Amino acid sequence: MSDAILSVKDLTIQYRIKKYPIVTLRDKFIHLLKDPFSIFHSPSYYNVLKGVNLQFSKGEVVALLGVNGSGKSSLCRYLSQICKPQIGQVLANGKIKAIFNTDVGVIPELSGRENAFLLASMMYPELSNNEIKKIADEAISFSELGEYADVAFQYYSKGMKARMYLSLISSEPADILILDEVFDGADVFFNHKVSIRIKDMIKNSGVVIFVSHSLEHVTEVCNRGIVLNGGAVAYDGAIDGAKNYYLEHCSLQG
Amino acid sequence: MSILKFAEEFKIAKVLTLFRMKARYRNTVAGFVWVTINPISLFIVHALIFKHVLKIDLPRYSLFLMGGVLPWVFATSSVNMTTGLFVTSRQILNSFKINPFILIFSTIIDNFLNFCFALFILLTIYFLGFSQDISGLGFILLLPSALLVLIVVSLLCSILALFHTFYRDTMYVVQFINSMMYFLTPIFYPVSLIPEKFRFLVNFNPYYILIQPFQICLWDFDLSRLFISLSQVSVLGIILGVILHLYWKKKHAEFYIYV
Repeated sequence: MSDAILSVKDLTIQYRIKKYPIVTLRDKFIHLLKDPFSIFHSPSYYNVLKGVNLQFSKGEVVALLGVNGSGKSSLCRYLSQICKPQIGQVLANGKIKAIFNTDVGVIPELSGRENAFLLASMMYPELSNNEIKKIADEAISFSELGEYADVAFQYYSKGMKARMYLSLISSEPADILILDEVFDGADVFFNHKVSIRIKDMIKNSGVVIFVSHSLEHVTEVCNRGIVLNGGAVAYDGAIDGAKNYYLEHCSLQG
Repeated sequence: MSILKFAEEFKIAKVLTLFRMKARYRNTVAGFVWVTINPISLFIVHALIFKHVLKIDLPRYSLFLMGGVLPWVFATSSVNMTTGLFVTSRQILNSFKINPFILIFSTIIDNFLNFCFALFILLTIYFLGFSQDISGLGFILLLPSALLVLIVVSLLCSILALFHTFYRDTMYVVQFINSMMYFLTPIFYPVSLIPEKFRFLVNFNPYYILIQPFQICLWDFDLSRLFISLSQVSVLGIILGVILHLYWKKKHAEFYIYV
């Protein structure tokens, strides 16, 4: 499909399984003494996802659904190109912005305003410092943090942190935006406010991919749903269908 | 990595370094001076003990120590500060799309600036109080040599931080090795004091390889020796770079699970 901004071809995500977990150099040393030939053994692998094919086109707002451990966050890491696939391909035709948590400050000792600037610098390194400052200031203003903007970030509540992050990531259009469970901290009123802003942003953006356990929220914002189950894409289609599939087929496993 | 991507990551590293420094020094009076007290006081103690108590008879011993102790403090404190950095920064790494090595690099740059500042203070005191018997060319070549060492220290720290991600006692092993290397590295004694039949071994000591250019520039400058020394630093850098590349290629998929 030529209008795909992001496509996944035969992606397999697998992790090595070790019979005896080796977490220290001491363990490794003892293990090598006990079984010197173990370094020649081929490791066993556990497939988190196997042979996944997906395409994302402009204007799509996609919800990734699935129970814990179904591979949503792993898939997001590969989609955002933090991890490079060893099997399969992830092809992006644009700049990717991704946030996986809104509960952490880059440097928590600094103020919210300073962390906003720092985060904006990380998200928009192609812009000048003045433009980045403008984005950070606008996000602080939208987040309604008021005088708390100049308080150290480490004293923020989870909701205040989420407000700041959501304001920041929704301030500029993005070719590909990946948000992993970032709505879970902010209150319902702010989520509504930021949802309107994200909808506006989407008009000028490419594709937005959400991971959230809030079915109500993803139904409101998304127009496509993908359900991951048993290491594969179990459903890919309209958001209502995805929601129903998820509730019917995944709930008992959770 | 394209040039554009490299420029963007360099910019992120620069901003992160500036903000880290801001966070580190804002609550201390003259915080920048504070962090230089450690290398300067170590230098003073070494100068007193080895020159006046143990009576090491070496011409311009203060310059020799400056070229040994300060780079030693820079290299080992960088290693100590960054070996556990991926693990302690796991929330940041798991939350944002950021090249993990930027965290290492920004911490080392911060350390490097402290090192430069401490060296600047001690050299200024030396110039004002003692003499100006430092080679001009050696002084000029100090900065490019230091920048090369900075890159190699960054590679070494990146490998150790990766190791610590998978083997959580790496930090303690490294601290133990560093305490031995302090005595095995010619920091406070010249390499000529090592018996000749064992002297070749220092060429395999990475800390000595990293420190030697400073000793040559500050203490007994010789252009050809500096060239050989910087070649050794470059070879060490290439070896570390290859190890880092291969290890990261093998482990990066599991990195976010283990961190």
